[in-house]
Amino acid sequence: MWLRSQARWWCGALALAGALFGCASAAELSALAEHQIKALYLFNFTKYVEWPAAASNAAPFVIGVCEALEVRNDLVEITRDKRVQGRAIVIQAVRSAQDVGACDLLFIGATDQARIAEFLRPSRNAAVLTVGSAENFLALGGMVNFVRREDKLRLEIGLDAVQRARLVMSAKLLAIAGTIKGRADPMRK
Amino acid sequence: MGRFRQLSIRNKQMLISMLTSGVALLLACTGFVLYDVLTAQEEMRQNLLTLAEVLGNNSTGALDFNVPKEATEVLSALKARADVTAACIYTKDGTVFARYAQSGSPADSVPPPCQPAGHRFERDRMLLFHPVEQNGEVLGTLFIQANLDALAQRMQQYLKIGIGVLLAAMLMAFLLSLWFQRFITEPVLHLVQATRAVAQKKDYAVRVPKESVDELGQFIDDFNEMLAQIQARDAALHEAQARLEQRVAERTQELQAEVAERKRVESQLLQAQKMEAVGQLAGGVAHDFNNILAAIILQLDLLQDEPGLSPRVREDLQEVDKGAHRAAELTRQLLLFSRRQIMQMKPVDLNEVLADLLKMLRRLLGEHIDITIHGEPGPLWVDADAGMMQQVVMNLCVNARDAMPQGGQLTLGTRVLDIQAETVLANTEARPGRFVCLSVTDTGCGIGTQTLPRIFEPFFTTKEVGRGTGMGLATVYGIVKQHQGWIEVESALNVGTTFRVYLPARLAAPDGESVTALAPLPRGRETVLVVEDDAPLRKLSVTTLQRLGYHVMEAPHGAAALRQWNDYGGNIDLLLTDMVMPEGINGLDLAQRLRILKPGLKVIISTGYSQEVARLSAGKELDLICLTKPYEMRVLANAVRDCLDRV
Ligand SMILES: Nc1ncnc2c1ncn2[C@@H]1O[C@H](COP(=O)(O)OP(=O)(O)O)[C@@H](O)[C@H]1O
Repeated sequence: MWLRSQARWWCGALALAGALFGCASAAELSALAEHQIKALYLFNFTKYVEWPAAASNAAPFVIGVCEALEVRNDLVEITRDKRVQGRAIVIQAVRSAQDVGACDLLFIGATDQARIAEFLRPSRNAAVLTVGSAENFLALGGMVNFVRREDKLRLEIGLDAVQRARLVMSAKLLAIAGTIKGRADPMRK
Repeated sequence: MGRFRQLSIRNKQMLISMLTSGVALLLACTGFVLYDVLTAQEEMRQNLLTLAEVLGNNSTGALDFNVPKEATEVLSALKARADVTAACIYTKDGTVFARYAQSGSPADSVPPPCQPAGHRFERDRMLLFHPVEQNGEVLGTLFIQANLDALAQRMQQYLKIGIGVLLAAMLMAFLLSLWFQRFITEPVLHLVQATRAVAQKKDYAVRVPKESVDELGQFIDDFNEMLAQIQARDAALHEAQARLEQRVAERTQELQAEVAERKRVESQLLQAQKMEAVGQLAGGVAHDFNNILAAIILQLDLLQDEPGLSPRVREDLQEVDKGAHRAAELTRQLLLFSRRQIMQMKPVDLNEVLADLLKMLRRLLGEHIDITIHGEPGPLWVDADAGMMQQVVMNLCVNARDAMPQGGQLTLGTRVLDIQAETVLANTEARPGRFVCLSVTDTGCGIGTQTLPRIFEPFFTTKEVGRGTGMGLATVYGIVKQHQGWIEVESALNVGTTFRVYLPARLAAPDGESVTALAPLPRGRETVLVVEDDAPLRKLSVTTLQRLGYHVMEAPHGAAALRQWNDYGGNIDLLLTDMVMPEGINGLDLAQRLRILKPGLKVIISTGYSQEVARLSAGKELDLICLTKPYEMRVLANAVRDCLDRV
């Protein structure tokens, strides 16, 4: 059992590395494991979202991962040698709500609603892009939610939460999002 | 090209200007169109590039988050672009991510495999591959295919405009060159006309009007100048030619005259040579004949002096004497002709000679011949033998009489004239200087051209036997020659003949001359040595001298004479010697040798050849007397006495 899961992980890691080094295709993407895709998307979000200007460029861009070990591991792999708006990237495991304040992007892998709410609360008024992977994530005040639909990973965006956090989300990201909740979006083309 | 060469210069120029402008315009149009096409292509590329940039930018999200639907939607915005026929987005690995095809175009056309960024034009479309990037990261490739309809349309428009402009330009070029032709073609045509006039009519007087001051004008100036020069040269040439022709004509005339002159001179020379030869011959015969006659005459003299001859014998002897004298006369004439007669040169007045002869001539010529004398006034002195001069006149007058049997006019004339060097050329015998001319003109039958060259030959006569001897003119010739003169004859058949005798004029009048009267033969007692190879003649001379009282010794030739001299020593007072003798010593040599033994020895040389003595004694200052054979007793006696009496 362990062996099997180990093998699967390695396969996914290899494929992901291939994708990142310039040969990932849509087909390959679809061949990736879900956690891998999630990790890739998480990193991609940094390109479509603008954070309020940071106090110092020297401060690293912190991606917090909560209860998603695989995704975190993948992220570490993906963001190696990468930068976001000139800032180095740090992947941080988020275990308690106190850790949330230091994050710029937070992935909450938990599916338990109470737990999600617990992690969302401290980020409510901070410029933290919160990404989740649960049924009511947007309703709980999350910003981006991964949903599986027609065997494909789709995005749900809660625009109100994004705007409340003073984050600016690219129209392109909105355009590809399966569902957008919140006010009718004037930026939608 | 050959066809182009045949065109007239007008058409050529037209064609050239039209071709030039056409080609230039075509090139310009092509350049312009090419530039425009390139610009249009670049514009199109930029356009598509911008489009690709926008589309690519809009598709990054779709690519990043793998949403082909979104990408397809982005591409579908191309509907608004009529020129874009197809588009496609490839993922990084080249698989088709999303595609677009214009409605109407084959929708199932498979997009080309992904290619590196760039663009290219195909026959009717343009293909553009453009990377889809985000923050410098390549996410995929965008492909756009556009048709070239706009470009083609533009090209068509250009073509129309271009053709229109070309046609208009050609028309303008045509009209302009028609207008400008006046400045180039017309002067050239004028030139051509002028050249043709020159070439065909040889008319160098034409000039081309100058209409401009450019190279053509310069050329026309030069051409006119050239024509002027040719004209001048032509005129000069014509003049030179005329001069040359004239000179050729003159020279031809001169040459003809020269040739005629030379012929005449040659014939004269021939005549002179002939006369000389005949003279030599006649002279040779006459010399011997003369000696014989001299002997006969002396013998007759002696015989007639013989006392106690019967009157009948005396009469016969007189007849023989007459005959001998006639023979002697003939011989004398021959010797005269051959110029071997010794002359008694004295100053003679030719007018006086004529006057003296006139009476006798009237008798000689008869009643029916009228004689006129046109004498130059005053005495005409010549150095001559008077007797010979009389003979010349007589002979010429007798001939004139014979030429006028029916009677006529005889004119005798004398005059003095100076012969110029030019006149001399006409006659080989003539010499320049002062001459006295004696002319005898008759109105007789004249002398034919056949006869004329021969009349001076001895024994040439046209008269019947017994009437003419043929010696008359020969004698005249000889005498005149001996007097350093010459004769000219001018004759026309049935009109008459003129003989002109030229004799050197004596420049000064002579002192008074005494005429020797006939006197008894002079005698002497001196010793005389007679040297003569002809024995009878020698005997006669000896006898004659002995009769006159001289002491005489004789010798047949020079050697014998020298012996005689040795025997008698200085007793000899006078040497009478023949000139030509055998044994190698001639008379002159003998005289010289004896003179060495006895200077002052008196010498008489007898000869038939007077010239010989003159020739041999020339420059030797010999004091001697010449005696011409045949001589009479009186002559011999006088000569001997004269010689002995000389101081
Ligand atoms: N005055 C003259 N007129 C015509 N013929 C002449 C005249 N004188 C000479 N002749 C011609 O020249 C020839 C030679 O003349 P000449 O020597 O005197 O000899 P001859 O009188 O004896 O004939 C003559 O026979 C005659 O034909």
